[in-house]
Amino acid sequence: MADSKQRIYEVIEVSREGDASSRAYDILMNTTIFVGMIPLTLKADNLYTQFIEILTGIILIIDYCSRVYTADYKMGYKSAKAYIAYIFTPLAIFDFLSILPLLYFVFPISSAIKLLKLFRIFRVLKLIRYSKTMIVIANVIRKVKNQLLAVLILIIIYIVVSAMLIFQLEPDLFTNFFDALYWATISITTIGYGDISPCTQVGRMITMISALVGVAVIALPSGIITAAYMNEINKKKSKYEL
Amino acid sequence: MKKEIDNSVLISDDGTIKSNKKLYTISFVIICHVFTIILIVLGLLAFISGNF
Repeated sequence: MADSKQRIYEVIEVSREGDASSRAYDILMNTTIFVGMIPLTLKADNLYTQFIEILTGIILIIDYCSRVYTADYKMGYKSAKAYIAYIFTPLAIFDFLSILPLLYFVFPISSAIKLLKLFRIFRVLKLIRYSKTMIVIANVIRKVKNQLLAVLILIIIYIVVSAMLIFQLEPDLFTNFFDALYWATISITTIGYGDISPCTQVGRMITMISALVGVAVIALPSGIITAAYMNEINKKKSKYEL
Repeated sequence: MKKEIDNSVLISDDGTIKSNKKLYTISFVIICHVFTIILIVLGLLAFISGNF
C-alpha cells in the first residue's frame, strides 16, 4: 500500500529523468490547463466547450484527490496534520478553486454559480509546479511578502484618502464613492483613462499630486521584486560556481 | 556480450514472480497520451467553432 502511494506521489509530482509515467502525466496536466482556458476565449459555450469542461474537470478532480491522498509525502511528515496543512497551502487552494467551475454543470440556473466559471483562470496558476522560472518567482515573492504587503497597504490607504478628498470636493463628478475609488486608482497608477476628470482647480490640484505620488508609490513593488530576484539569481550563480 | 536485465522478474523464496510493472507503466503512458490528444482535438474544435 505504501509502495503504491509513493508511486502515485512520484507520478503526480514534476517528472524526473527516466520516469515515463510521470512525464506523460505532466504532459497531460499541462494540456488540461491550456485547453481548459479555451472556453474563456469564447463569448458563448458550445458542445465542444462542454465536453472540455467535463473532461478537464474530471482530470483536475483526480489530480486534486491524488495530491491530498499523498499529502504526507509532500509535507514530509506522516500524520493527519500533514493532510490538513497541505489543503491550506497556496497551490492546493488554487487546485481546489480551479475545480469549482464544474459546479456550473450541477447548478446551471444559478447566476451566482455562473461567476464560478471565471475561476477557470486559477488553472493557469497550476503551471507554477511545472515551470522552474515560475518556482523561482514564487520563492522570491514569498521572501519579500512582508515588504510587498506594507507597500500594498500604503497604496490602499492613499487611494482611499484621495477618493474621499475628491468625493467631497467634486461631488457632482461621481455617482457614488466607488467611482471616486476608481478615479483614484486610475490616477495613482498613472493610467488616466480620462473618463472621469476633475473640473475645479482644487480637484485638478489633487489629481496632480496624486499622479506625482503615484509614480513613486507604484514603482515600489517592482523595485522590491527586482532586487529580490537579482539576489536569488546571484545566489544560484555563486552556488553553481562553488 | 551483456545480458539485458529484465526488471519485470522478481525473486522470492518460492521462486520467481513476473511483475506487471512494465505493463502498467506502458498502459498508463498510453492512456495519458490518448487523453492528451483528445483534449487537443476538442480544444482546436472548440476554438475554431467558437471564433470562426
